[in-house]
Amino acid sequence: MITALAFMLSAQAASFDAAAYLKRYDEVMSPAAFDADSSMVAHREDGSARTYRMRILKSGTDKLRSTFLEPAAAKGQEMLRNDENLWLYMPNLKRAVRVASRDSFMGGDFNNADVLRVNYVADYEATAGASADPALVLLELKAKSTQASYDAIKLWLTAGDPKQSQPVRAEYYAKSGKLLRSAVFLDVKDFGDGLKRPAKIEMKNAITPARHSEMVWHTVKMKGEIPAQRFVVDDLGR
Amino acid sequence: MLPLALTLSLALAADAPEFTGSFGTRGSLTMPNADSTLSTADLPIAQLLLDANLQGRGRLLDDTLTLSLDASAFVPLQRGFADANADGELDSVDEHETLGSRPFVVFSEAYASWEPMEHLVLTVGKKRVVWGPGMVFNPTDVLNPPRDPTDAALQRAGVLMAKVDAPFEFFTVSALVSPAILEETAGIPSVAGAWPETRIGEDDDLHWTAVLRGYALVWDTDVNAWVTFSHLYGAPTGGGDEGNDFEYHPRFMLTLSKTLFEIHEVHAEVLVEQGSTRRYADADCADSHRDFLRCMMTRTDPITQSRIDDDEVYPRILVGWRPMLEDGTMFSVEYYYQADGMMPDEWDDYQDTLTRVGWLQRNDLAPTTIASPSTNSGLPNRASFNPSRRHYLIATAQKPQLFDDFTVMATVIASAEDLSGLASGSVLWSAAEWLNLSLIAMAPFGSVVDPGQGEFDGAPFSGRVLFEARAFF
Repeated sequence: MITALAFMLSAQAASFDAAAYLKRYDEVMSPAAFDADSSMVAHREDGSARTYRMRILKSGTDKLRSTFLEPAAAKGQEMLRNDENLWLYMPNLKRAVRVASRDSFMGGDFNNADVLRVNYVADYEATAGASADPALVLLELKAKSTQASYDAIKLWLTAGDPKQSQPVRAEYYAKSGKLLRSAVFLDVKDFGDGLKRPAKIEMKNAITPARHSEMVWHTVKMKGEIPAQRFVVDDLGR
Repeated sequence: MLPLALTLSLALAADAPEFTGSFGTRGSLTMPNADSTLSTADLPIAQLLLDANLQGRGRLLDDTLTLSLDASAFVPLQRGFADANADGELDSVDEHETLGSRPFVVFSEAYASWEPMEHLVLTVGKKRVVWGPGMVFNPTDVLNPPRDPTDAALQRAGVLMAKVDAPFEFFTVSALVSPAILEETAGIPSVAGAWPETRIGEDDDLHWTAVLRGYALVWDTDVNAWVTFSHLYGAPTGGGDEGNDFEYHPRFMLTLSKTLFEIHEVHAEVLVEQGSTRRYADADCADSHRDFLRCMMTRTDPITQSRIDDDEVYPRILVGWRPMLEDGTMFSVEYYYQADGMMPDEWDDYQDTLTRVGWLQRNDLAPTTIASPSTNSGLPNRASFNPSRRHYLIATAQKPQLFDDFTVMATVIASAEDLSGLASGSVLWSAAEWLNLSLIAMAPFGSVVDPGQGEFDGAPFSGRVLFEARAFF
């Protein structure tokens, strides 16, 4: 009986194109070029919350710039990713310093790469997993390089046509196999210009379960091209 | 006039101008050092510094023109002064006004930046431009007021400049010219570039510096290389110079910063120049009170810029390593070398001479020189780093998000030659999204190699505790 069940799951696992779903994930969660207004709410262990509002510019697969608009204490801070390089511009330093991709993003439960480096096709090898829910497909992602945010990810997307699929939830693992974080993708919304995607991501911290963070995308404007100089260190703070 | 014009432009014309700022109060208690080399008579024991900061930004002309302003106003209140008596014990000094006791303003930045076309940015005004990656100290920064070594964020002031940038995807070319600010009134520049003809006793020269710089991202490494050419620029350098009086003087700088193995940032700053503006003691004036007084009477300056016309090349090199852990903890270790730093004999002469200057000060024969805060060096710092010797070690550790809202930080700066130094620790509580409360303590520590003779043994204070509250809006 167990052997039969395992065979059925295995058969299901092999029956879809994992690479196509992974490509779809990048397309909806990280379009080629956009200008977005988003916010992150970090819920802490004591029940309080901190809200950060930011403008996010993205160009190509490796350039992203985030400018903090709120709260007042963080206003003017900027984060820039250019390929493997991450910088944080501090307005009270009037300069940018390099930061690590696995650092916590503004003290919340996302790390810098979760927000600034969504390029799963480049960073992960996807294989088809066995989803217990027939309405979902499971992608099992293994990091291709040490630059990836996590060593392994389990990613569930809606089953069916990969070109219409949406992410539903994800689990993020360390090399040891320990669960670090889990995410739920909510509120699929049409942002216009053909972009339909979850507007809200809830990220739970598996190590300190009392904490969780939400990333909400208020607007996402697709752009044909954003000038390259917007993604240059010298432009930060300007 | 430029700050005023910018403020008005921001308020009236800019598309959705943004204003932020803060109100702060910084209270400090300082214990004067009875063994201070120089007089501490002007060092307040209790000080309250009230400040208001306004930062504005607006965009015009379809976002191609940016107007930016960062201004602060300070009201210092000071009580209590003490100085060492002839027996080496602290005696109270009568309440008096010091240079640092008057209200002042600091226009840290006030500039307009125009991007008339792609790959061209023109900037005019007062702006802080830092190209060095050093965490605590930037020996290649020969333009801006020096930073506070115990808190890298405690300096935002820049210099007057006209700058052209040509930014491209992987490289940028910049050029700037900056007139020296020769005189300020309550923090507002009143004379820049050249002295007015009506000013008697001043030179007719233009005081300026020009910079040509290139930046490139090469193999995931930030590479900055630039050359400066200056004439009587006279700005503080952060490198220990008390005045930068070179005439038609070139300097060459190179900085590198790279992240290795995801979390290890390594960096280097190198400055190369001929000659030095450092002030050295005249050994003939340093041996005894009699020699010192003889020099004074014969108008022989006991401390001079004796190597300013030297042909020898004096590099300054800073190398650092900064691991960044996943929980946000950051360590930084930096080593600094300056070739024009004093050798042991030179240091002994210098310290002996300063001791004699202190003796003159304490006997009302020379003016006291300790004035804090200064109005011509940007925002008031809690501590300064003016290295005189050759080798230094600088270590910092910072742990943010401790219990979510606390950030603890520790900094140690030590002379690697005599192992004296300055230690500082701080706890910052982000009590609300709009309110930060900080407790800071710092103390110099004496040399264990050469007790009493270390660089920090003669520091003006033996301990300082500060409390700061800052509300953002």
